[in-house]
Amino acid sequence: MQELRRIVGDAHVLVEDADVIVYEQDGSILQAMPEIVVLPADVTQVSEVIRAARRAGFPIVPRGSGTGLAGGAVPAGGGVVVSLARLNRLLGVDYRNRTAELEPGVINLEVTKGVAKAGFFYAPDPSSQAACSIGGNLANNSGGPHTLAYGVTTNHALGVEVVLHDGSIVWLGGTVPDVPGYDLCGVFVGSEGTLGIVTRAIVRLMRAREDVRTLLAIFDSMDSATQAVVDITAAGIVPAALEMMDKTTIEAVERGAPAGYPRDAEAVLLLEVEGVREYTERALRMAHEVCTRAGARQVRAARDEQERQALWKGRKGAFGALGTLAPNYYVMDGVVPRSKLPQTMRAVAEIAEQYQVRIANVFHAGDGNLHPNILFDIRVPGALDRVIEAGAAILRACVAVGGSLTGEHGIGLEKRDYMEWLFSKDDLEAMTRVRLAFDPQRAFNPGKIFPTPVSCGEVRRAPARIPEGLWI
Amino acid sequence: METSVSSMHLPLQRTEPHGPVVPGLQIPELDQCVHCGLCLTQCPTYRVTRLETESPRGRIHLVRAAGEGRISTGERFAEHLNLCLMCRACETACPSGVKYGRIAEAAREVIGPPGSALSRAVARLAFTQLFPRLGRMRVLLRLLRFYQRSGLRAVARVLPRRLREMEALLPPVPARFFTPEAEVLPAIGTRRARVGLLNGCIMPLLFGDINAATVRVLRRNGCEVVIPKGQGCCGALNVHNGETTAAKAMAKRNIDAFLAAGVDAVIVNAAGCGATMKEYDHLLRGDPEYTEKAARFSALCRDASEFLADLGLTGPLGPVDMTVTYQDPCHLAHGQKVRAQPRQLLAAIPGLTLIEMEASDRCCGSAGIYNVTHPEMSRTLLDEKMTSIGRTGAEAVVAPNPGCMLQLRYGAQRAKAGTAVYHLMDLLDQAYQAAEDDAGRARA
Amino acid sequence: MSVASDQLIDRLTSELGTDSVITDRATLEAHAVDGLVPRAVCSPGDAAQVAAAIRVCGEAGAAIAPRGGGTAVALGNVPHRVDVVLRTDRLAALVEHDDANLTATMEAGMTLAHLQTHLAQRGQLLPLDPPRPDRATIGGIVAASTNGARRMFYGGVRDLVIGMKMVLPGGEQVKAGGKVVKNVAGYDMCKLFVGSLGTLGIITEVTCKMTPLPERALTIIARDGGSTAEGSGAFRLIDALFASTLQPSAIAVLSPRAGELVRAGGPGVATAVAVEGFTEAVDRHVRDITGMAAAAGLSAEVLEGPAHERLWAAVADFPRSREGEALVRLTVPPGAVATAVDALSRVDDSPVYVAHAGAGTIWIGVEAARAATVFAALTSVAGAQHGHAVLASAPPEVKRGLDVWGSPPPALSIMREIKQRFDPQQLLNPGRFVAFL
Repeated sequence: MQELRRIVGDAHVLVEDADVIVYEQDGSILQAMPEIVVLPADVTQVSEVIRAARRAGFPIVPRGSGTGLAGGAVPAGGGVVVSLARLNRLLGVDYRNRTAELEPGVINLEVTKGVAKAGFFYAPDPSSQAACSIGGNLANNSGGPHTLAYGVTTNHALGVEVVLHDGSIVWLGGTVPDVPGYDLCGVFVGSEGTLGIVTRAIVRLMRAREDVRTLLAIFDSMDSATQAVVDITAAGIVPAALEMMDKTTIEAVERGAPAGYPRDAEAVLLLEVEGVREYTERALRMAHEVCTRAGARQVRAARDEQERQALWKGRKGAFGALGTLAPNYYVMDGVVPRSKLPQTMRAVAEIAEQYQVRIANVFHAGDGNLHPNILFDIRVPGALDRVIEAGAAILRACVAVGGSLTGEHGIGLEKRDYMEWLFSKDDLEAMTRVRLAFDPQRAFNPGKIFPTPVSCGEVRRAPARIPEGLWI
Repeated sequence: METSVSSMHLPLQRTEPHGPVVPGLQIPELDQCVHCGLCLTQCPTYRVTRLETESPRGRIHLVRAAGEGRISTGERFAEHLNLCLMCRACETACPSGVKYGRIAEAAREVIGPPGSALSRAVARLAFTQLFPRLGRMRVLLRLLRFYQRSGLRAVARVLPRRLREMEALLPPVPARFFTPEAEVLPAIGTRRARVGLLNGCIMPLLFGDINAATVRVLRRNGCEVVIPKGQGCCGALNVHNGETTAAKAMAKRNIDAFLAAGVDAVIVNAAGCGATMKEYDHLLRGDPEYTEKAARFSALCRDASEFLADLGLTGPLGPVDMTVTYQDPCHLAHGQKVRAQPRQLLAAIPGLTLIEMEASDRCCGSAGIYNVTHPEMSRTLLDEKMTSIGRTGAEAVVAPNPGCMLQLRYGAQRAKAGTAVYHLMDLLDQAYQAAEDDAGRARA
Repeated sequence: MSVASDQLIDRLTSELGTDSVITDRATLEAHAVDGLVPRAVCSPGDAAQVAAAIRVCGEAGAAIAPRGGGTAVALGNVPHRVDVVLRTDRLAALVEHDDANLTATMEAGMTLAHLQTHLAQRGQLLPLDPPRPDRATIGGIVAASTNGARRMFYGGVRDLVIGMKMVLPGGEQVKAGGKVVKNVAGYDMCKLFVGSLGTLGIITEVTCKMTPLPERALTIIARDGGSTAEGSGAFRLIDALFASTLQPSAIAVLSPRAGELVRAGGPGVATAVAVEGFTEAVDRHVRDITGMAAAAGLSAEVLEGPAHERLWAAVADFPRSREGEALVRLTVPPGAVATAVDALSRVDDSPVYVAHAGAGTIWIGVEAARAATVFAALTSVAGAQHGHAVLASAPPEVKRGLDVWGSPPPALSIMREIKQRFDPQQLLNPGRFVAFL
């Protein structure tokens, strides 16, 4: 502790309960108290902090903005939480080569804000983009609505400077792709803080598109809405975004922040195409036809930016609006092949029935990335258990049709015990080899991703008011 | 497969719930927070410190934990809650509609006013003895005026640095305070509404011209203006600093005074006061006598810009050749969600150009008495603000709230920028005046 | 070598069957890697047989060189040893084409051309453009990470692969990723295997993202007729393209001699811009790009149909190994391609290059005799632009004594550690990868 204070200064080492308790949670419902929280200011300090923490035998839990939804930043085994919030400089932008060099604490949206005037943007746009950090995005390989056309974080990360378990600093990848050797930048992205700490990154920027068109289609049945998604893909349109909301979500939106969605509709589909004007016009026309053919009751196209914002308003406010239906919700992040969307949505509805829970679906339909939100009231005895079981059933249904446990939120602490549904012992063993090649002592973020019990410390589900017996 | 984390690692002993629960902190607003973190980057103190303890989500979690007895409400807890500016930018950012202000106010009720023992005592004295009794305030300001003009000010140079800085924050007290010529002032032209005006505590003393300007602008827009004698200070500073006993009494006094005046709206030209008055119903919840009255009163309250924009400006506006930028007062933009209306009114003034600054809705660091209790953080935010203002190249900044105006004037002085600071009502009044002058010249 | 050849071959034969293990001299010589002739060539019929073959080799300590179509066999350092060449030619089935999901899963040995034929029937394609698609296999393309000019629009191999199955050196059959386009469950193991050149495991199955067949595809080819200084007109055009909101799918700059080689016709530097998509959008691109070419002092021509296809087939084919020649791959940031080409002309009077300008990759043909010198010069050219150079193909005598991958990467110690944990016995392509891993 003395040493940590020497490295980063008194103000940036937190040990008292009334300080560290704030870092026991992230955006998920899991909590575990850190022992120490350190906020280094630069790569040298990060390296020294890691050395000091390792000398004392503490596990290290990296943390960005703490907006993750799978408990990735929750210090499951106690230890030192290293917050990268102070490494927040945008170091340079190279428009000619369309790259930006930045520190991990830079906020996602700040990147686009910083380059928008020059006609560029940073493509991955998770819903939390106003708060989440680039470091967190790299750790989780974050997506977002517009990753359908542009890809997820890994497709936009060229190189990362990382600090390893022994405090050494090394670059993975570089300023250009195909750096000879194994694609360790590709391996590092999405490793959820278990391999090391990113202290600097080079990411791609994209040229802003000439034109954006947005369309909202209203459906009387979920089946025809999901069929429209399948048909749009099959018609050769690659939308920039293709988002869906079901009836329950529509109800929440219209109660919370009304966006003019008809309350009796079963589903609304929000589609956005981007590109040169000739492309967007044609794609929009085709999408319009496809939706009508699939049985859309009504199709609205935004005529200007204001109308476009209005169409998006409901989608963007959807998660927040769920609070109008129930005090708590548990967001799932299953992903299925797009061809399996219709049957999976039917399965989700059956699960809701079976477990007697209410589910609001709002999701990235174009990617097959579902976000069933299970609504509940944590104060009702047994509700949380039922919700967790229903969530597990949904993920099983996703895996059963060739899908995955998580499309963008990560495994973290939340789903590590489900990993065996997807991966064999040998598959996981191969991942462990990579883990140990980087971090032989499992110093970084222990207890995450891999299906094993935590050896020390305690993890609990928030809030603390819930009765005993819910500790895991 | 995965074995022990590290054989050397010995967790520190942390005990789970150790203290008594604090019922005052177990408030329903807490349950709405899903700790998504979207508020972090909108919080001025988080932006500066990068510490989650100084973020809305962090503070909410602290209140929750303290309420459950997991941490004490001691010094550390108080420090984190007190560093909050109460700007409520987090409420704007929150997708779940968490009313952070209420959580923070509840916490401050438990921990009491901020600062050292001495400054807490001074603050408590001010909240209970000064603000509720405007006569005393008037006397105090007269003394201050005397001090500023007597040459005694030179003495301030020998004060310790901290006190010297506080002294520098003191605005010059104008030669005249605002005293309405009558309790009811008639509309000019066709009467379109009968409105009450909050005279306020500081406004008539330090910004008497603005109250006068507000009255003129309202009257020119066909408003009969009532300035009920029975009114007093709105109690905002009390509420923000966790003093609710005097605050409730002050609220009741205003409610009685204005409801008795039979007005269509209660006009407020100080954003902080407006935000508080619009929430009197919350302050007086559970007071059977006032529940209904408070709700009725709160529904009548309007910021001057909000009211005028809805009413629609009438009468000729003359040119005010000026390039300005607009600072959204926190309690107007975040507290009352009034953003478009002031801009709409500015756009209506001929000759005036509005250049938006970056993050116009970020707090300037004034925040009631914050610039006195937390001078360092306050100045950091102010310097940032002055930089944003400087970048616009505007010659003046418009900020329809007295606290912001004082702070920005101090900022302009610090930055040696020469940026003028206006209230929106100043400029509207100037525009009407300019039209009148033109008409006068034309007649001549 | 701990086990005699005969014994190894017997054991392989007993696992795979007689027909699947070939030991005749001609076949063995045809499968030599950098002149190293294997003792056996085997062609397992499924993943289980691949696993069996690997186990047999592991027990015998026999080094394996995995091989697809053999189109990238010249890539990499001269291996330390080659005992068995393991071919994937019998793993050539299309496992699944989920057209509504825009994904396809195929066995590693399927050729790209074969796959494209299947996909085209349902209006889709896999937008990869390696040399010799008739021979290049999916597994090989993935293992060698063979990218072409269309990468700038569609993404590269690493972006298009979403799942794979592989057999590890211990014989374990594992999988990575899946068939969903967005997936963050566990480490992204696909990335580790893309471009790993068969040094960590043998890929047996790959799942990729597909794309709809474009409604219309054509090329605008702009030539300077030899009138501008080395490619300056071409790069003015490319700068204009980059500054615009246009989205061409590929840009290739061909030096005069490369132009002849790919029969692009006409003297001087040629810039080929491929445009694909809806008819209206393609027409718009033609209009704008033709205008940009004129402004850059270039004459432009539109190639459609077979002429367009021939051109891009030839551009894709350019980086294949040729007798007596070497090939350098220079990778620089896209904005530095002009500078790199300029520097290149100082290394070589009349360079033969094809630059994938949008992706920042420049393929340079060099006479074998000068390869080592040119490679060294280009390595410093690349270094100055924060890029890198790889001697992608050269006769073994040139390769010996240097590391074709250039100076060791900064993270070499982790790479070594990974190799050690996956292949402690050094069975797979020993010595062939970076720093002779």
